[in-house]
Amino acid sequence: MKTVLVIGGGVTGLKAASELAEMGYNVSLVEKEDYLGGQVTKHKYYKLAPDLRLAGDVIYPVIKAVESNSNIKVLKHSQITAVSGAAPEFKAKIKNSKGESEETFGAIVVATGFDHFDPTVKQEYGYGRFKDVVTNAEVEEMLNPNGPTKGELKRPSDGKTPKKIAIFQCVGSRDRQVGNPYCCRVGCVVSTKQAIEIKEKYPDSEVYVYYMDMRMFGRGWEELYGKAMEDYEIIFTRGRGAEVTLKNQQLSLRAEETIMDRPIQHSVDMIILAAGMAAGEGTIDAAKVLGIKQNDYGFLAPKDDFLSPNESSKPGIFIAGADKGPMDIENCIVEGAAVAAKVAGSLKN
Amino acid sequence: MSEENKNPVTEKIESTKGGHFYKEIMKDFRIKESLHGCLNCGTCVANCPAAAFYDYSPREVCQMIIEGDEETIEEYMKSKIWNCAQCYSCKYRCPKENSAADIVMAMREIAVREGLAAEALAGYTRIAKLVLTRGNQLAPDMLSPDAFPDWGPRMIELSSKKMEMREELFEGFPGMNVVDRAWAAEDYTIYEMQKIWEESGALEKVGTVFPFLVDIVQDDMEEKAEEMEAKIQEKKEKLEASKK
Repeated sequence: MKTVLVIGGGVTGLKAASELAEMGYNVSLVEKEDYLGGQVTKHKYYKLAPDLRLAGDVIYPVIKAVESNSNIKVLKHSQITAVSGAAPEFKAKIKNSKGESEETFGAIVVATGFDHFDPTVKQEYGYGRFKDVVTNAEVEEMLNPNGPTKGELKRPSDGKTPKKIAIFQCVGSRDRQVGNPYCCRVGCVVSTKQAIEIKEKYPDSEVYVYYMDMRMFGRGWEELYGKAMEDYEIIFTRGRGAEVTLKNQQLSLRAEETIMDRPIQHSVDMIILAAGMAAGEGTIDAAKVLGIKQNDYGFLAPKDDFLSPNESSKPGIFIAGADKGPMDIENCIVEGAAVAAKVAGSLKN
Repeated sequence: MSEENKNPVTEKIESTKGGHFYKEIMKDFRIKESLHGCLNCGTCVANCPAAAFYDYSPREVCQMIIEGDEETIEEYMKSKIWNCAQCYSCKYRCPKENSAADIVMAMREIAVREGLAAEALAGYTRIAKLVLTRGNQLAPDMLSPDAFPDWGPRMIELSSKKMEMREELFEGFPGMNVVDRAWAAEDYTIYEMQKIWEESGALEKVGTVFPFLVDIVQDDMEEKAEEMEAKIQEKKEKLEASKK
């Protein structure tokens, strides 16, 4: 039985590994960090949209399925430094603290995922300059009872609970100025979810969402959007957050209320940037090491977007999940299973 | 009952895209670089210093060109586009990398050419006259502390000594020892400048907005013509001599 190399221990990689192991294949799962679960674990995602169920309820079963399966060898703190050979016999060098070893694999699954967009680049938003301008990933960490603030939303500047909160949509997405003209596909629903969580925990707070379009195309997303407006009185303003300044220790934002056709200035206590998705560092490294094609934004390019979505530009190397482009957790799990089926099929031939 | 009476609030859209002004604007090489569709996100308006104070919206400018309605374009060329301060904030913030400022610049040139700018630019007559007859229009005298109270009491003191200060600062440069203009250009320099305007056709263009200014400049030139032409001739001869 041939062994499959899965690169990346996030949701997609975990799902692919456990599906392949269940089919009887041996799997080596290589993860560069010392934990499994990728961005979900790293940023302590608390609840998932649209059901507001705990992220742990989704991610722990996926991790457990990997850890409890004897067909899977999990290599944490490890990285692939070189790959030679071709399908169905690849030789991969795996480097970790114990040194470097070479192993043979029948197929490779790349599930290296995304990184949260770094909003420091959008200097007009003041991220990094103003303490109370935070990212949506940081808010996830705050809202998680196991996070740094034990589940409380606190202003980094003074530790107080903010009363007026503005959320900026499309930070690092749909933006040619930063080279990311694509949509992050999750920002709208994540912000709506976070706004509801904040209002639920602090009913006295005011939450404003500055958006261009609310793209609620996923299962139950539109309903969540409706709930946010009807049950939680979250205020959605159609205009992109344009600029943040600090006036007398108070954050002040500028935008245009495009429906009312007027520029506005708004003083708030905290600003959450709905930072989008960028190709992960691991994805860019993997593309280099494996010599597979990337698209204009650094994500991995499928052989054919419609007909072979999980095949890379090289035979025997498969791609899945958010390393192909922005994707939510629900679809990453589907991708993990889909790529497993494709790998199994290719190894049978 | 006519259609309008039945529904007085609803605006009837009749596209007149493709009119003369629209075509002239689209011919300009800057437009293609300055408009890549519009998300209507309002980033440009939020950043626009003109939009904060005047009836001007860079987003509207982009939308107007996309829609291309001839009547609206004409209206804009007569008034709204002249409120833009040409700071280019819109260009450097627009997520589509559009540049309303560039569109405005192209439209202004066309507005001048097509004789639509006279009313909007009437307020600049004084400036244009000073530039055309003196070569510069700002003067220390214009910056009176009364008009700028936020400059504080020190400015009042400094302002009363501006002539002494300039004399000290620009010792040896007689043209700078004036306070009613930024500097006093020599008659010969002004004449040369006016001649360039006349021969390049720039003066004629000015005439489409400020017709009477052309007469003023031409009178000004005529007065000096004899003396200046002699000077030019003298210079030419000197140049010829030096070549031999």
